[in-house]
Amino acid sequence: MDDEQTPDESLPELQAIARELAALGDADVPREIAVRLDARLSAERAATPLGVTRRKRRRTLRVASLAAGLAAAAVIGIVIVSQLSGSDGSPAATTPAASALAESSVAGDSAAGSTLAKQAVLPKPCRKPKAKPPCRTKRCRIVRKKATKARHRACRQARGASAPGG
Amino acid sequence: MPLGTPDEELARRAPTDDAAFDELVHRHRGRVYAIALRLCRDPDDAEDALQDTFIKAYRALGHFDGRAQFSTWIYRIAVNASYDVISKRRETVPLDAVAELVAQTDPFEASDRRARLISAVDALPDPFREAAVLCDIAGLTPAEAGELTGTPEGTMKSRSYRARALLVRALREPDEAG
Repeated sequence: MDDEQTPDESLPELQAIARELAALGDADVPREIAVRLDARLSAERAATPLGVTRRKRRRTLRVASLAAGLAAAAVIGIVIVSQLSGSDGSPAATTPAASALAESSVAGDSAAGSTLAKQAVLPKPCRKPKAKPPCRTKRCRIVRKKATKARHRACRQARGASAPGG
Repeated sequence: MPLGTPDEELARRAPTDDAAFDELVHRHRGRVYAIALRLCRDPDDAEDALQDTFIKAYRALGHFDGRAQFSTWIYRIAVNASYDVISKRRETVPLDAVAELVAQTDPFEASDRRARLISAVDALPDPFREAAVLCDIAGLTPAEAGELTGTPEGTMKSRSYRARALLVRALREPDEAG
């Protein structure tokens, strides 16, 4: 069987044997071997970083879709509740939480009213205390560049009332 | 998964799509097992090589660049996995004892003509059997088979031709083939 020996087989015979050899790979593997192969591949998928990454991605997608669904349901619920309470119009129809919210807003309004009264007496507070005051008196905190002389004067008077000599 | 999807397209999807990889396994496991069985000449070793082949392929999917056919790529992995299994086996079991068991124990080799062909392939001297498996069963070109085994292309081509001739002769004379 050395390389120098010349075969006397015909070309069609050689081609036929090549086809038969190729056909050896056409058959599928026996069922039990296929089952064991699938089991091994499943174990590999579960163990490799690639498999872990895929599982994490699937889990994240599931959580995200669940959260999106819950958020949509919550928004729809809020809209329905607000429409129902709005159509009735009576305070008795509102929920306890909604009435508590309304009470707190009323209390907030009264506090805001007293603040406005103080602002009517004092000059307008400065918005940018770190900026260089245009007024020469250091205590004046008016920072508007185009402040009028009247405003500077009012500021000085107000500061002078609280701290004389300013 | 559509049946007509090319292997290379499935291989591109496989890193993120288990179904694509399953389809590739389904398409090629028969030929990979045939290659491993003829190289190892033992069903258990061939099954080990089969599993190792697809495990290695799964891990290396990112390195498949699509320049070669997927079938060529996976068969090269199969041949290497088979040689790995053979080298491990040689440390523990004598080859002659294994070769005796082959054709009778494997249900994969059913029909008479097929069984005779398989026996004849297994009886070939190693270089010719290797050439027949790589070039005819795996479908590699002589250049690819030569690169895989470290043999010149011309030598591999010659061995493949000689292997076919020897098989023809063996199948003509069934009494001598067994």
